[in-house]
Amino acid sequence: MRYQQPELQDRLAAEYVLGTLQGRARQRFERLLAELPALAERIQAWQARFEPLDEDLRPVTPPAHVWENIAARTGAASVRRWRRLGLLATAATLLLALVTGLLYRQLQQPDHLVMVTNEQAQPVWVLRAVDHRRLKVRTLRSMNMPASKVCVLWLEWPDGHRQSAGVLSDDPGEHLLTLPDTARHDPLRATLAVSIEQGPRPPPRPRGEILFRGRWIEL
Amino acid sequence: MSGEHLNRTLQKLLLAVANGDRAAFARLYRLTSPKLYAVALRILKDEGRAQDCLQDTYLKIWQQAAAYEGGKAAVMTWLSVILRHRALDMLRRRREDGEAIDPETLEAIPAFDPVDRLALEKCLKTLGSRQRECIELAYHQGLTHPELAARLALPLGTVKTWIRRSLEKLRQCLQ
Repeated sequence: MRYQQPELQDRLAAEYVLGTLQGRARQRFERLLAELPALAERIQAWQARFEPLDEDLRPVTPPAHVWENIAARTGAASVRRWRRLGLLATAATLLLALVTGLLYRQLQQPDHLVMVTNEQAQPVWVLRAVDHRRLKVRTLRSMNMPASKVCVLWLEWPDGHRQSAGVLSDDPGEHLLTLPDTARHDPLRATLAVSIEQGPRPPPRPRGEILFRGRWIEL
Repeated sequence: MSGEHLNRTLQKLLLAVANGDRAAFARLYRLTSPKLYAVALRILKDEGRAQDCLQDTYLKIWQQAAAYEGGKAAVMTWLSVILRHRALDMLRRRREDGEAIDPETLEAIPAFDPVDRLALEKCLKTLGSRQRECIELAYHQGLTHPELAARLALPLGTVKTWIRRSLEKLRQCLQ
């Protein structure tokens, strides 16, 4: 394949970093990037070469609302509030522990939640881990998908491993998904992604557009 | 904090972010956003759009922190690639000139290794002055080949050749 040539890879990476790689060539290059790890290294090398050009830039602190938006979208904002709740929960737990050990155990288990939103930022699914094997999915609104397409939930781990957890139902109400059984990969450590795929069964890896990517929020 | 020390700190933070550590994410943002925001402002020339760009960049960092491979690139370099990618994308979609930027607050962040800066300057000087201008315009303002040709009053083919040859020269010079 043409793109295997190191000289060509390097030239494209240089123009990608410089910004002159345009249009379809750029799109093609970005698709290749997912398949050829060597390209990513070349990009980093070129960025490092050019970076001294940014040295004369005076750093500018962005306005506070930028971080507030980021924090809200990643769940980072609520950390303090949840911590306070956590303390209350701990006190309650200690009290209940005197009553029943079982309840104590349940309250100690943090809830893992993910809210999947559509492009208008409206919640579509709320996912809750029942345990490390099962996932409860509450469908809040329909994605209005064409009949042949389905929304597939994926778990992605930091080491690059990825597995499908099945199709997210469009029917309102609560549904149960069984998480993939992997000894080495804890579902609660995964990033969750949702893609649109040709139905009815999920493909071995995502082929369609990724609609959403997010992490578990621990409550 | 020296560049090397900063990088080690940022690497630790990024690793924690990959594990979902929100406090580490906030700290990473505090340390790196002033520099990235300045880069976004220069490319996009508009505060609102630079802020959107910064927001998208950090959402991506939060999701993809695990993809960073320590040792292969400095964290700032890795972050810069993500930011530039987003900024250039936004530029493609809607290109218009904004107003001059008047930074309200400044935060010091260590400069890059002066040796790198000197080396790049030395190598840029081996290019002709107009070839050098061409490279700097592309890097700082995200100009496309046709835009560079218009700005420098040169045929498109010449601009493409200049850039290709200049990049090759820089690569050899910086080895």
